[in-house]
Formats: sequence, C-alpha cells, structure tokens
Amino acid sequence: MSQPVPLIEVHHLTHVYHAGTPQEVRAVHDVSLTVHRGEFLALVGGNGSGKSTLAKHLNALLLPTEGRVVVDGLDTRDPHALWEIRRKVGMVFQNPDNQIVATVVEEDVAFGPENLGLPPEEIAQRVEEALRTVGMLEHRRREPHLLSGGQKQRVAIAGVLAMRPQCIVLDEATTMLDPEGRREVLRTAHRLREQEGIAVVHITHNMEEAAQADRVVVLHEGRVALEGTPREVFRDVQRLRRLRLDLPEVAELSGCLRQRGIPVEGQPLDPEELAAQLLRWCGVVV
Amino acid sequence: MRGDRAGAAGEPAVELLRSLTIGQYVPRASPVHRLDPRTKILATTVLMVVVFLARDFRGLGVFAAFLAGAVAISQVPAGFVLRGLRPIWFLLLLTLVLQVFFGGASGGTVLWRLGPFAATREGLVQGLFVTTRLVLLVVSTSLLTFTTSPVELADGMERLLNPFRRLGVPAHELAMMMTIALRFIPTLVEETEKIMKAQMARGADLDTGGPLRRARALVPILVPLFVSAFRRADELAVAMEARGYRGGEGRTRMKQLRYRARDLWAGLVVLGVGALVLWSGGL
Amino acid sequence: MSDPVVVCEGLTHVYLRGTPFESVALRGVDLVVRRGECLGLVGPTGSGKSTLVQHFNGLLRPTEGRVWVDGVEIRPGTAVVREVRRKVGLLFQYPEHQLFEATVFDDVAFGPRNLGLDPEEVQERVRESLEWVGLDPDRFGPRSPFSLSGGEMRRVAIAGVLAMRPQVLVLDEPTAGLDPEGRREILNRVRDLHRKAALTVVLISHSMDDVARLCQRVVVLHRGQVFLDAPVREAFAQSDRLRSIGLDVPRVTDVLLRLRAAGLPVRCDRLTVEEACEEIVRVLQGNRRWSSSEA
Repeated sequence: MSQPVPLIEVHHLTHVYHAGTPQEVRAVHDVSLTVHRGEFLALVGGNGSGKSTLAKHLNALLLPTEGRVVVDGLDTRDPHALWEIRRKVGMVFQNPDNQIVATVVEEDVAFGPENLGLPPEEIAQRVEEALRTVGMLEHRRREPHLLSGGQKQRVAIAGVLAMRPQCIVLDEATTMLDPEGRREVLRTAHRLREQEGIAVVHITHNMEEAAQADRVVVLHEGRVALEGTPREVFRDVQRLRRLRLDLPEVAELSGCLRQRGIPVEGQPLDPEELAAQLLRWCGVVV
Repeated sequence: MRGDRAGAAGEPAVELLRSLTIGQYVPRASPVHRLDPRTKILATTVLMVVVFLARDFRGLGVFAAFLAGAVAISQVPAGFVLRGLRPIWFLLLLTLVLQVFFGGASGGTVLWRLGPFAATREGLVQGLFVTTRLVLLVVSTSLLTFTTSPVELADGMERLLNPFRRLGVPAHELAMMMTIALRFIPTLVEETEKIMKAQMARGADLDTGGPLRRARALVPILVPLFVSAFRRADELAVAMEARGYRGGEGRTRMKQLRYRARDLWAGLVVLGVGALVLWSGGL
Repeated sequence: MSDPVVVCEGLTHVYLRGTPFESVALRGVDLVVRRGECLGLVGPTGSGKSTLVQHFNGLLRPTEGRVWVDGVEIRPGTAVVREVRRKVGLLFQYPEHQLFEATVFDDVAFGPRNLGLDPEEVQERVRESLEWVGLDPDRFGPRSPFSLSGGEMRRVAIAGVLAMRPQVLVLDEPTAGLDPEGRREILNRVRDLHRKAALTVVLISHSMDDVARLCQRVVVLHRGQVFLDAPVREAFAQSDRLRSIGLDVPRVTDVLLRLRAAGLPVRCDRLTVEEACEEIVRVLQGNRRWSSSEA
C-alpha cells in the first residue's frame, strides 16, 4: 500500500510553546514518523502526550520549533505552500459545533471550495458528492444546531472532503460523541479510505478505535513510545498501563487468560476473535 | 426566566426560542418572498424615504393601499403584521397625545380643555397624520423581515455593499460576522439554558430581589457564557483557517443572486407608487 | 431493601405542549431510587435520561404523574423549597463549563453561600469538598479556575456540587471527554463517594463497562419509557434485548455470551475482566481435561 514517496514525513519534530518564558513547555520532542498514502493511522496517547500538537503540524497550523514536516513534497515552513498543504491535508476537530460556520449544512460544506475560489457550478457539484459520501445528502438544507453530534462531525468531514484532500486528520473528532456518533464517524472514515484512497490519521485515546487502524503510534510525554500494528502494540499490557493508557478489554482479558495458562495466540482485538480462539482450543467445533 | 414559580427555569421561553428560526421570518412561497433580497432591501429604503415625503392623507392613503396589497400578496397573515405593532403602541399613543395638545398652530380651534392644556382640531389632525406615518413605516420594514430570511438579508447586504469595498467598506467581513452570529444564536441559547440549570442546581436564584440583586445573579450565567463564546470563536477561527479561509479576497460563492424579471417589475411598481404619493401630496 | 429516596409514579414530561414543536420526552415512568444504592441510568441518546433526572431536584416539573424526593412531593406550579436542591446534587455534562468565579474557593463556595450558611461553615465545606476531589485547598483555593487543566476544572465543578452536602448525587456522564487515566480517577472517586460517604448515586453513562463496575442496579430507558429495570448482572445478561435498542454489553460479557452460544456452560453474568477470566479458566480447564481424557 505504501509508495516510494510517503504522503507526510515528520523529521525530528520538536515543538516548544512559549519558548523563553517561565511558561515554556516542550509538547513534542524529537518525533519522527511517516504517514503513507491511503493508510489508516491511529495516533494515541493520554492528555499531555503531545498528540494534538503533533496533529496541528500536519497541516501547518503550527510550525516546528526544530525539525521539519513535509507534506507531499511541500515543507510546512514555506509560506507559499501553506494553502496547498491545507488543501491536501484536511482536519476535523474535536468540538462538533465549533467548526460549522454557515446556517445551512450545504453552505457549510461549500465553505472550503469557496475559499479555493472555484466556480459556483463546480462547488455545487463537489458539495453534493461530499454529502453523498458521508451519507448526509438528505440533510443538506437543515440547520446545523438541529443535528446530532455524529451528524455534525460527518458534515465537517464533508466540508473537508469537498476540498479533495489526500489525507484527513481526525483530531480527537470522536472524543465528544456518544457511542452511536463514534460508530458513524469511524464508519465514514474507513469508507473514505477504502473508496477514495484518502489517508486517515485518527487521533484518539480510545483503544478500541485504535484497534481498527492499520498502524498505531503511541505518544507519551511528547515522544514516540510504541509503534506498530495494533496487534504488536497491544501485546505489551504492562507497558501500556505505564503509559497511562487502557487496552481494549478483549486484549486485557487475553493477557489475563495467558497468565492463567490458557495459550491465547496473537492479539485478538474483538470479542468474536477471542471467543473463536478459545472454542478452537478446547476442541469445540466453531 | 420565570424561575420556579410556574414551572421550570424559564423552560417554555428558552425552548420556544430554540425551536423557532431567528427573527420574524415567515416562510412562504409568495411572489414577494421570491424576490431577490437586494430588490427588497432597496425597495424598503425607497419606501421609507417616500413615506416621509408624503404631505397629506391622500399620499398616505396611496401608500397604505399599496402596502395592504403587498401584505396580501406576501401571504403573511395580517395578524402577524398587526402584532408587530404591539411593541410600539405606547410610542404611537404618546405621539398622538403630544400632537393633539401641542401640535396645532397656536390659536387653532379648541376641542376641549384639560387644565392649562388645550386640545386643538389641528393638533388632532396632525397627530393622526404623524401616527399613521409611523405605522406605515413600521409595517414596511416588518414586511421586509417577514418575507426575507436573515441569511438572505445578510447575502443581500453583502452584494449591495460589495462595490463599496474599494472605499473601505468591509462588506464581506460584515456579512461573515452576521452569518456566524446567526449560526450560533441557537447554540448559545441552548448553552445559556444549560448554564442556568447548572447554577440553579447549586441554589442560584434568578427571580427574587430588586434590579440590582437580579443583575448580580446573572454573573454566574454571563461569565461562563462569555468564556465559552471566546473559546468557540478561537476554535472556529482555527477551523476556518484549516479550510483555507484567508478573508474575502479571491473567494467565490456557491449561491448566486440573480435579478429576474419579477425584480424589475417590483422595482417599477415601487417607483410608481413613490411617484404617485409625491404627486398626490402636491410636491 | 432500603427505603426509597426518590420516587416517580407515572411520570410524563412533554416539552412545549400545545405548540407545533411539542415533544414527549418521558412517558409514564415508574422508578424508585433507594437510599444508599448506586443506580446506573443508560439508554440511547434522546431516550430521556437527562429529562428524567432534572425532575429529581425540581428543575423540571411533571406534565403528568408524580415525583417525591425524600418523602416530599414536587408539584408543578409550586415554588421549590431550597431543601430539594440541597438534597439532590446534580452534575451536568462537561460541568467545567459552569465555572465563573475569580478563585476556585469562591466557585466551590457558591453553593454553600446560596444555602445561607455562615462563613466558617462555608470555609469548612469548601476545604472538605476540594480534598474529596483530590485538590489541595491551600494550593488550588486562591487560583483562578480558568488557569487549571480540563481535568482539574472538572474536579472543581464536582467539588462545587459536593459542597452542598447532598444525599443523592446525580452524575450525567461524568467521564465524557476524558482520557483513560482521567476516567479512572473520576470513577474511583465516585466509587469512594458511594461507599465511604454513603451517598446515593445515580450514574448516567454510555459506557456499559463503567456501569457494570460501579452500579448494583441498572435502569434502561428507551424513547422515554423504562425498557429494563434490574440488578446489573441480570440486565447485562439480556444482551439481545439491549442490542435491539442500540446498546451494547460489556465486551467481556460479549465473549462469555459467544462461548455460551457455542455450548460451553459459562455463566454470563460476569462483568469485569477479572471475573470473566476466572469463569473462562474454570470452564475451559475443566472442559479440556474432560475432552482430552475422552480422546
């Protein structure tokens, strides 16, 4: 899936807030990572791990104190590349309300393309496509405050989609949603990746959601603590505990069973998988 | 905010506010509704000037006939229109009374006396004239807001002011501000309700006491609301930038406002009415 | 069985009755909250959980039906005695959004001051409440609430409600938006309040795992009606019913249910990882020995 030139490269990124003052805080320290085209990457960590700061470097909302961030060949420090970078890497934020700007859904989705100065007919077409992709086309003329959290976030995703990005960053976009809303958003994100080939960077502290990604990067106190596939990362129960993170319950249960002598193999990530394995082990035909 | 007395903490008022669309807009499919908002804004401005140029009751009569017709075509119930006059009934009454007693030229035909004050016939005529003019003025502007949604008004104003950008008029910024404000009013109303309930749950009392006490009781509501509003503005600004916003330069709009034949006709009718009013008033 | 502290009988609540926007939030709800229990209140969004608990402290009045709090009926149209607000403490979602005072101390003192207590009593309650939530009153008291982290602000808001010394504490999604560590902390404190301070707790939550861990009884609401009212273990064993309205069971319970469906005699009312682990080990090792001896 990954191609020779990665979509986003982060080289030894360090970010310091309020440098030189008594409030100075080093949020990100010497972080290097890559986002490959079309991959679903989960970026996890507790509060204060630097994940949100890192996210904002991906579309040049923040600039590095040290190090470099390159988006599809464009350096985020280059002032001329700014708007092209923000077109390639779209971002959906945590608070569903505080990113919707218009009084009607379809007009909000049009906001991005309008900023790009596209002709009206093309904007209308993109808006319709985007709304259809996220499943909100029938709500196109509704007022945003009447929507549920999950619906608002889907509208926000549509707004980013209408700019034809290569990557969408979900900056804790599911944190404030109820379980139904979270499912909606994740389903939409996975569909984007599968159907449109758009890379997704999902920033979260919910390990169940991270388990659905291709790759997981764990941040702790501004540094990369763990990196790998979900199965690789969730193997080390103790380590994750020390990093103030939770495991998916199933992973925890697997660890517990292993300790008690039941050989659970690999790293089952959902109840179905674990149950199937246990049944096979004790000779029951599944 | 009726507090605990008749029900929940201002629940009916806040709920209703949240459910209704903001402003007096009455959605209908009338010819007036379908006019371009710019036409309506310009027409209303012209009408407001005309109503002040009318000299006598004939002029006002023409104007009133036209307005009655416009209201009828707009399918807005007459009851709504009349209810719109309720807030100013006191002003109308005051104006009338003042004119009756002080309006006529000195030495006019006295109708009756009230102590040192004399009500004259001329004053009465003048009073009725001025009051009628006020009523017609209010109804004209009401018709605008009844038939044009707040978003259309913002759009219309922006397009009208666009040519003046060269002279420093921030047309786009004003329109953006208005749209965002309209977008967030229901959200802020909801939040206010939530904050009110949270403080009431801690024993806050928003109903008792004199004006000073009640004002102070609003602090636990206003402070969190303001803090939250600033935070929203901040987050919204970042989100807008992330979607490529950099001001009005180079921006296009998906929705296009287009003048049509009906706008031309409407404009001609308004100008015609204006001319008629001025002519009958004997300019 | 301990005595009831909140009783709802045929409780119906209609918003905006008589207008075109009328909506029925609660329909004939019968519910009893018993003193000293920890009750979980769950249900899909829009099922009426928030509306229900706002009747417990008089913020909302029944459109039909009756509500008693600590033996006193809350009737529509009558002034609420401040007592009710004191007895039932209600913490809304994202409570840190209600902070407004210049100092943490003053904000926590808002409640006690509204109750008309004298300064020494207020001082004592503020200190006690801050300690209960794990914030040192001397360090945090004089600071501005807006200078704190999100998690700290939330704890200040909780202290503000605790300072009223309520008998019943209603928490609407107290862990919403927190990271795993923050959630663990809040839930531990809630558990302490329930066990050590003997508060009656009503916990509204979307997390079945949280409810399973803390509560003895669960009431499930669906479209304004009581869908299920049972002890926690019984409730979660009915996974099909719960799933039919869009809710889920704790994941470990899900594993057990699948094992059972395949024929293993596991008990499905195990709710935590430890319990589920024990149960699986018990059944599997027994089974394995049996099947290998057969072979």
